[in-house]
Amino acid sequence: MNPLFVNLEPDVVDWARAQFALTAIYHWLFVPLTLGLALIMGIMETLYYRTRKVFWKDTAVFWQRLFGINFAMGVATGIVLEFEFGTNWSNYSWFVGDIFGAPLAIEGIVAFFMESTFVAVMFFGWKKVSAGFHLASTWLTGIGATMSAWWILVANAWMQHPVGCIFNPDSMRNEMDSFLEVALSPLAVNKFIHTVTSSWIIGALFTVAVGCYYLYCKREQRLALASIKIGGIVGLVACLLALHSGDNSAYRVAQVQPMKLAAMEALYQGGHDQALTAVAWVNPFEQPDYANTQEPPLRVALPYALSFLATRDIHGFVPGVNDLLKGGYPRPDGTIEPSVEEKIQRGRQAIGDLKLYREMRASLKGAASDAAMAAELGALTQSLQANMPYFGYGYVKDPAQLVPYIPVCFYAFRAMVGLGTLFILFFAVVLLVAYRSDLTRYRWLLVSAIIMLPLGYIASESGWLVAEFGRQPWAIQDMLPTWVGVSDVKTGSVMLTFFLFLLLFSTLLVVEVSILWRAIRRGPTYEEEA
Amino acid sequence: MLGNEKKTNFVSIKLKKYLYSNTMNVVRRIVDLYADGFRQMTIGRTLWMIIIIKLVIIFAVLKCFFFPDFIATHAEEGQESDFVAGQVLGK
Repeated sequence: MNPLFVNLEPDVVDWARAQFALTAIYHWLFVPLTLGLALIMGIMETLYYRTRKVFWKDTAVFWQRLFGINFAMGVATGIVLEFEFGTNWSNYSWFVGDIFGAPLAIEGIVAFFMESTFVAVMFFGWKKVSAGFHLASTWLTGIGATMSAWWILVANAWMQHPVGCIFNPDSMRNEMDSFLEVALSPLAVNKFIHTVTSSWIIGALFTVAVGCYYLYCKREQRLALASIKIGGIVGLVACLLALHSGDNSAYRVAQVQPMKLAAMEALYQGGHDQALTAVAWVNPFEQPDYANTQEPPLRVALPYALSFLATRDIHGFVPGVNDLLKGGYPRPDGTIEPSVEEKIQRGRQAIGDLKLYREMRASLKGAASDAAMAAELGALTQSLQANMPYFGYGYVKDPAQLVPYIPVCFYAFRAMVGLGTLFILFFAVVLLVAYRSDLTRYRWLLVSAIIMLPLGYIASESGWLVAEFGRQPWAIQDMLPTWVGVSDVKTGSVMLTFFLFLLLFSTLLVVEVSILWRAIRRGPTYEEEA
Repeated sequence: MLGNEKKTNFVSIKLKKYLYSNTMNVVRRIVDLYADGFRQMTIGRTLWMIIIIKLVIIFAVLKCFFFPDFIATHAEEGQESDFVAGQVLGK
């Protein structure tokens, strides 16, 4: 048992983390397809609006039906994450309450009003509203879903890099100091672009896979080919955008979460002129001995690429795990990185100041006493605010706790980037064959399109694994470790709900896949034929 | 003067009637959109059934029995920050 869990039953934090990961991973199976298909169906309906060819209407209606099935299955799967915040992560929820309140409230309003209104017009309004109004509703459904994702990603980005807030020792909450700083933090903007473009890739892979399935079965050939061409173009453009935003993401991570970058790269000893690891052997079942190892075995690397990725300078300094623990190297802003020991001292100072502050506030009696203590309280507040960025370090007993599990970060990052590169090649080949030749002659390509779809989901989930495993042990970067953010709940109850969710979400997934499969097999309905 | 007042009243009543009938028309069209849409659903019926079952499970079972608000059930009203301080600073 970890000695840090003195007030907790063994493993409650691990079960709570596992439950959150499980529900988030399942939720993320539904969301990217919603965002991706929203774009595809919008493009198809726009083609109908511009050409007035019934074929495009039939195509749009078909993809809207598949969108609707996925949308219905995904409804409310995210709400359970909020339940978990309130029950399993109550300390954390209270700590961040004021920051999360605004984005999540906006998300709820946007999601409910925008999506529910325009989804209804999109599905029920084909013969009831004008073509222009219908097209607008289709696009607004997609924009509503995308805006909804924006606010969730703003909240997530704040956890990775808390900005625009000030800690109130009376309310024990981080209070928003600047809404714009929170909503438009560069990390949030980049995370949004990367997440949405990667969702478009999922939508494109799905469209191409369904189209190739029809071609393989020698049916719906016109719709299939048109869909494959649109899916291929969307997929290729989205891949290139995701590549660019992914590069920006890595640069941002290097600035604000260097330990995550070191874990992603299995970079134990940093330095100047760092190479980017392409492949290496990192034992997936145990944390490597980073303190006594120069680099992982069988490493093949691209010279200077990591320095360029992290600093935009091929000779730039990139800290490794050991450099981050020791400190003493120059940061990008020119200041010197403090050692972990210093951070731990400052964290303990912040915790001590907060305790004293609250005790003094509780013991205040009468105006004279208030005045006498006012100066002392002011000094405590000043000291607390100065050390608050290191608050979480005060709970760290062993520097090893600050190193995320390297194998997951290392392999998940490579899965995401490797598959992303494969998708660029795949979409390019599909488009080349679709425009220059007869796709039906390339059976292997049709089969590989179907195989690409689950690979797309693996890449997408891997991205989240990198983002969330990489920031461990922090619930809020540098301010709150997971074992402090977790509630003092019984392990048994978290275990029980973990398996309940596993059952519920697995059932939902099976139901969704079977309904989608039935709808795909049934195929489109052609108005011109009717 | 009186004639002018009567004329203004007449215009105002006509305008109100026009706006009322227009509003009612829009409301009727919206109701029709939903009513016809729901009536003509095919796969949508199954999806709605699934959504309703899912919402019942999530809100009536999971939320009520397994996911209470931890702070609300453990802290006295108005003393939440003291409770959280005890939890966070005691670890």
